[in-house]
Amino acid sequence: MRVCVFVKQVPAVEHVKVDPVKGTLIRDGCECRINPYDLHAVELGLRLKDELRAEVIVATMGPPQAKSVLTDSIAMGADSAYLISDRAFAGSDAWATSVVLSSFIRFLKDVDVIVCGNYSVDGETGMVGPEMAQLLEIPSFTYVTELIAADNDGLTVRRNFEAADIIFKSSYPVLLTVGKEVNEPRIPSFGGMLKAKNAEVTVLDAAALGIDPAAVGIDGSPTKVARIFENQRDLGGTVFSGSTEEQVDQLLVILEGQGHLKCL
Amino acid sequence: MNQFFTEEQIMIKDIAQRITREKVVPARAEYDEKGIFPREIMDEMAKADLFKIYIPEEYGGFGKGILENCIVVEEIARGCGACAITYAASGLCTYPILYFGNDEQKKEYLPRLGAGKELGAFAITEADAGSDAGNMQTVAVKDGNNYILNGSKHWITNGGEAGIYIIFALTDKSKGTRGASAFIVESSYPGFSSGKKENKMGIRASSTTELILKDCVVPAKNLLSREGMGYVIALKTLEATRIGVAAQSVGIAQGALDAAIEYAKERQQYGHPIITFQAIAHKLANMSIEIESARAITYQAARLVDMKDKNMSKYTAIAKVFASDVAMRATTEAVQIFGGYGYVKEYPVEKMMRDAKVTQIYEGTNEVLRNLIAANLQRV
Repeated sequence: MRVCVFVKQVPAVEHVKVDPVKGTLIRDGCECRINPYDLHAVELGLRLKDELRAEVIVATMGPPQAKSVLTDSIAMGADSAYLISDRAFAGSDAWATSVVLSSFIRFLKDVDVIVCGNYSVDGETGMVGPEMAQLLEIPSFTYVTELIAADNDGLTVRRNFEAADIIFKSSYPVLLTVGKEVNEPRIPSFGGMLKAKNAEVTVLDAAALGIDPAAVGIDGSPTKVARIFENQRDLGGTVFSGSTEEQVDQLLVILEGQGHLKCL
Repeated sequence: MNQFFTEEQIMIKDIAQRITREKVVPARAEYDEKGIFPREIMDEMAKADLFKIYIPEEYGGFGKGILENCIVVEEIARGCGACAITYAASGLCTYPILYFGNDEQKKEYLPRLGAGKELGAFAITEADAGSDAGNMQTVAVKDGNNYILNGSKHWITNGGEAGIYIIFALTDKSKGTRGASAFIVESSYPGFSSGKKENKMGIRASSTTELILKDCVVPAKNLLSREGMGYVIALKTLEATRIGVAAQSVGIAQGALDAAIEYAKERQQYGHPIITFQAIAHKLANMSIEIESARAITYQAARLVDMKDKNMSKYTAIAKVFASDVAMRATTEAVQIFGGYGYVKEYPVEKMMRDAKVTQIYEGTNEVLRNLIAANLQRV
């Protein structure tokens, strides 16, 4: 069985600022890390490796420094890593990214399961996974909360909808997107980290994947980001001050006064 | 300290830190309250290869030293002293085999201990043989291809949970301490059982039990080295492995300091965070001075062990005495900084103080170790 997990390097979003003039994220000097949901995607791939001896390939589309998210994944136990990198990909929106990544899947051949995080925390479109599945003409299941079972013929997953959970069964190939509920990512072993230190990452560009540059990058992106801005909302309300104990005392007085609480 | 570590040592430290942050800290209060053995933490550490790091490569390990072992112990102890000693005590079983085992014994037991699924333990202490280990009464009598062991051991860390034990017994009572021998004993051997689990003041998640040997049948091939080598095996093991207790002490103390700093920044009195009051700031500074010093001597001594320096015993004793005393002082001070909150179980420092106390007692009481250091000085 062959599993391909896509990961993305993102800035640590709690530290990112928005450039108020350009309307873009200021990524320079930001600490970068693997998209948190992608760790869960890697872990799901590794579960298939543990249970079904699947080969786990991990790949990312990004600049050269994105290699670090690949070595993190090798340290967890992935078997091989690919960096998909070309200047032509710069500025790609979700659709153009899907074109690149699905080309990579065709390049790999015979991939049974594709796993992605539900969305990346810097873009949050959540569209790349399902768009890839469309381009590859394979079924996809987003927001998978549990991998119930898997064997060499197919897998069974749970997806959560507000009113109910629904169980889906699928044969291969299939694409899944996952979030934090699906598993707990393993901590890399020392052996894994040593392997990752010496791991070779295969770099593929547009030519290697047979991609027409006009179909990707800014030119190949049907959507354009018009503006990014911090959402300023004045919610009103009262801001308490003082020590934690003092603030709690003030809040209790107000809640009791409003009849929400009866303090003994 | 990272400036003095290699890239691989920092990797090991990072792995242990993650396990502490993600697995140990969320579980420690419940483990302590209920005395739950940290099997799940040990499983996580095993999956991360941490039991393999000091096993030689030819036996499936990574061939690192006691220094790397100490890095792990310190980081885990920052979260919980009990989890740290559970890991370290398994090493107390591994090291006698490493130092004195023959090839067959190493091939059999080092991979098993390195896998971390079976923990190890070291059993020399008896009810009337603590510091005076030579007063042990457990005997081993040769019977064909076996030894038959009779007696009991007391205060055994990982007792009842370990699968592999190093047990010391007298093969020749007439020779006193020179008549002691060391055996590798598996918990499945007939006549082996563990007794009552102690209800301890601290390190409550660590299992401390009696061991009972009633006509316990041990294959003769599990004798370590030869008859009469028990005393030497015990001394040579403990002079190295006591550095693990020093590392545990440094970790406990650091955990207490970290908690005290965080609390002192948040807690406000008279309109100011208490960390701005000189009385509190000086306590934190003194804790930091002592902890950094304890850490320095601990890792220096660990390096001497790995170098097989002939003076290692004095330095590991100094490190263990100093670091354990620092842990007791630092945790007590942390409780003081927390004030009333330090005295209740909702906050972590009272557990750290309870955990710290035993580091002054086990693996050589600080009194016995001061004797050892003084004897070393007299020989100069």
